Amino acid sequence: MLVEGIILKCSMNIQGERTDSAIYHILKGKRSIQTVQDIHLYQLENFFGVYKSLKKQLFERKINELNAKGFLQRISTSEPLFKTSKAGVDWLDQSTVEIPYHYFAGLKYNGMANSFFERLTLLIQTLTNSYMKYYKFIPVIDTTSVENWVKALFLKAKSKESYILSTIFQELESLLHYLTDQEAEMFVDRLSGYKNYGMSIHQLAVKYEMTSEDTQLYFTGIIHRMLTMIENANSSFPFMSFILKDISNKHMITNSANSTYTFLKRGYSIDTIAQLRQLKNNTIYDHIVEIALYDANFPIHNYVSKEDQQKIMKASSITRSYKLKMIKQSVDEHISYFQIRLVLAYAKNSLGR
Amino acid sequence: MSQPELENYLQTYFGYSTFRVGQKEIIQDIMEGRDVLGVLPTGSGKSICYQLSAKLLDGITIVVSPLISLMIDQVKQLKAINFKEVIALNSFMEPMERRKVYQKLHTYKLIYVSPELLQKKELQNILSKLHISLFVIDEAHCISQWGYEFRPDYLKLNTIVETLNNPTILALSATATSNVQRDIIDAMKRPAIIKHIYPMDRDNIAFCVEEVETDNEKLPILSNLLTNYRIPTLIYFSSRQTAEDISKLLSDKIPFRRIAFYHGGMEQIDRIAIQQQFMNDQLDIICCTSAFGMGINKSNIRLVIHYHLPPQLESFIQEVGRAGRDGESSLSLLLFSKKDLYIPKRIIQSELPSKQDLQSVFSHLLNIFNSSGKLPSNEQQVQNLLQLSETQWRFLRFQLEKHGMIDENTILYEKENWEKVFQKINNLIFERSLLKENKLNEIIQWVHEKECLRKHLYKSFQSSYQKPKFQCCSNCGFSISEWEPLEITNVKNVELSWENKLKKLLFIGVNDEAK
Repeated sequence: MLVEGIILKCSMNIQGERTDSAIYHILKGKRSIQTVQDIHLYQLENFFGVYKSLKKQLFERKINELNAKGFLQRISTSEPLFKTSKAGVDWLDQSTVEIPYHYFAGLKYNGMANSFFERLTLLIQTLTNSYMKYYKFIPVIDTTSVENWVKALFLKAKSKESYILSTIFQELESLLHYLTDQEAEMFVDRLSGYKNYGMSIHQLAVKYEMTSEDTQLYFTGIIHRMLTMIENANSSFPFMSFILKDISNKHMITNSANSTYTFLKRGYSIDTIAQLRQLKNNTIYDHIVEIALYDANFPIHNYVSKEDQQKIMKASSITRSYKLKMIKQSVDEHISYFQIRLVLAYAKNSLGR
Repeated sequence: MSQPELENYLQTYFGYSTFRVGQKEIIQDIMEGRDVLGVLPTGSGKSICYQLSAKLLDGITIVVSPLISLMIDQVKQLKAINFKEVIALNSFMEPMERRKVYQKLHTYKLIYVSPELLQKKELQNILSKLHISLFVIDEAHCISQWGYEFRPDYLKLNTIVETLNNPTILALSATATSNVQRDIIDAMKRPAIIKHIYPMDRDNIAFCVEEVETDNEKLPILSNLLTNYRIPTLIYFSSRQTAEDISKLLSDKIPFRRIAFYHGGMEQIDRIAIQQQFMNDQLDIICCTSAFGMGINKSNIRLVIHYHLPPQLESFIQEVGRAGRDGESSLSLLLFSKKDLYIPKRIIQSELPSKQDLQSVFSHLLNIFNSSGKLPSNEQQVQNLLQLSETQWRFLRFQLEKHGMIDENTILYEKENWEKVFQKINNLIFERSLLKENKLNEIIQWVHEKECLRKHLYKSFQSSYQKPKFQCCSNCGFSISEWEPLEITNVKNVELSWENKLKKLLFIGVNDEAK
């Protein structure tokens, strides 16, 4: 129901102006200018990247089901363009009683939610085991960066386990009170501790009588909600804020782009980076566009002059389009596709803030 | 090294007070620099043989293992008991991370590596500069063309061992017939290797084959059996989907048992959770594929059920061997239906490329030769490009390299050679399919055996077997009503409110005496 609801919400805003794969990319959190542009244009920031493991097959099945049920209405025979029908809108209205759509804050948290939960659950598992002097436990999380973070904290936290555990308890308890009892229980069920391993997504799905897909999404929503509460009242949740502190949106940038960025900052040229990294120049261009999309301090003037930036933005607003070809045709010939993409990405970046 | 000394080390590093059958003998030979071929049954603690040696030897121990998830599990378990100088290298590591690890390879005592990665020149160069004292070939039967799990990459291990300055070799397997043993010794070129062969029959497991007409009859059998007994149980399936489906149906039918499924398609966090819940007796029954169980040390599994017929006796014996490691009375139940026979047949077919696959790969390769001339460096991309499964591509890559059609990622085109190679590979595929079909026929024959199942199960691996400790098999008058396994004492599952659960989890309101 949750997956369906979110698809209907998206298509309601998009109103058939984009093909269904635009919705798919939004839910997957695709880091392309087109997708980032779409979420702003159609006000779907909150659903950006909320379902990263979504499979194309499943998505298409859902679209077909919604179409068959009459909640989605296909408005073109040549392209997969859908509108949410009257019946679909009615269903959505009713579903808001059960489905907390407002929990999601995808654009803001999709890069952080998972790291936050992984840190918290591994920390609890480590501290409770260490409190019981049991060191043979198998960690539930094996993400290297999370392991390192917990390790570093654990060195300082040793012998203070019970103090930290009670701090975690106090903050989690008041945080979970912002959720329904069932949601709070779901969250607690997933945590692991001493001789106690948390439930898998599928086990939660069985217990709470949902599909695995909905459970996955619901859990993401719960974490987003918790992150929102922590940010709104960070003085009430000092420890949770501490866990969050250095998880930033840098996770939004792919590792590969990040490594290109490191080279750029050291002053290497695009050609040299491509050679060193054994990648094509075009891949490096893609990385730079990606960086421009997410890093507010990106030095765009190194790549496009102020004058050309203005020309590109003007062309974009005149053509009322982000279609590269149309913009390219209406600007000076010396301006490259790369420069156009870069300027559009950078503009999205500043708009997003 | 004197004997009590070895036992002390076993206690210090691994917390066991005594060795199990074969372990000490093997370790002693290794410590004295003798090459060893060890054939020890599943669950006998093969890995201790090299883990303890790695701890005691001066240089580095390398373990080649084809099972990536097993390597990762073992590394976790070793780290959990404070053996930290251990790492698993495989092609799933991020290139950045891998480079970092490569720079400090000399700091490890025990390095697990997948056979694919070990073929890479870069890694070989680094390893050749290190002091390697022991080279372990896990699942050594993969070296044999006539084994059920032939891994072409294993055939190149002997040249790799040479570049590593010929360290001591330990080849280990749980299932190696005498033919396969000979293949291992020949392939590694170590005729003087010392053999430690131990019988694989298990005197505390009873064997039961039950033939049914259709799938529909299986579920009631499962639910009756599992209603009567509360015992740690594994149910093996040939497909992920069926494992999930039956897990659900069974949970509905017997809600008082804690049931979950496990297969290779699950997220890592969920796989660890299910595995550990089972280890921890938070779960009674796991519906799983063959991905479950490797490297799992649970001693009180009482019942192993095969919902589908495995494609050969070797995997059946391995999976059954996970039952009753504590020596208590345990049962293997195989549910056989003639209607299922297409499943192992399809598995056999899908493991190797078909003739059509082969044709399309050859024409793809020619196209690539005419454009860039190079295959993508990422194996996954190559598989997608050529539309082959991982197993199929592994098989083909070896053949293409062997016959000079590719060199690492470069395609070498020569019309006549390609035509010859096509025929050769095609013939080989035919031969290997035949071998697999024979393996399948062997297990089908066993299922229909009228004589003692125990006798015929082990006959191609060893000449005799021990007298069963409890009941023998369904052909020797096994009766389920007389089976009395040790059951799990009833666990009360009190449902607490989330606040109380959280309190309990975080030890709130527990004072230190309660520890």
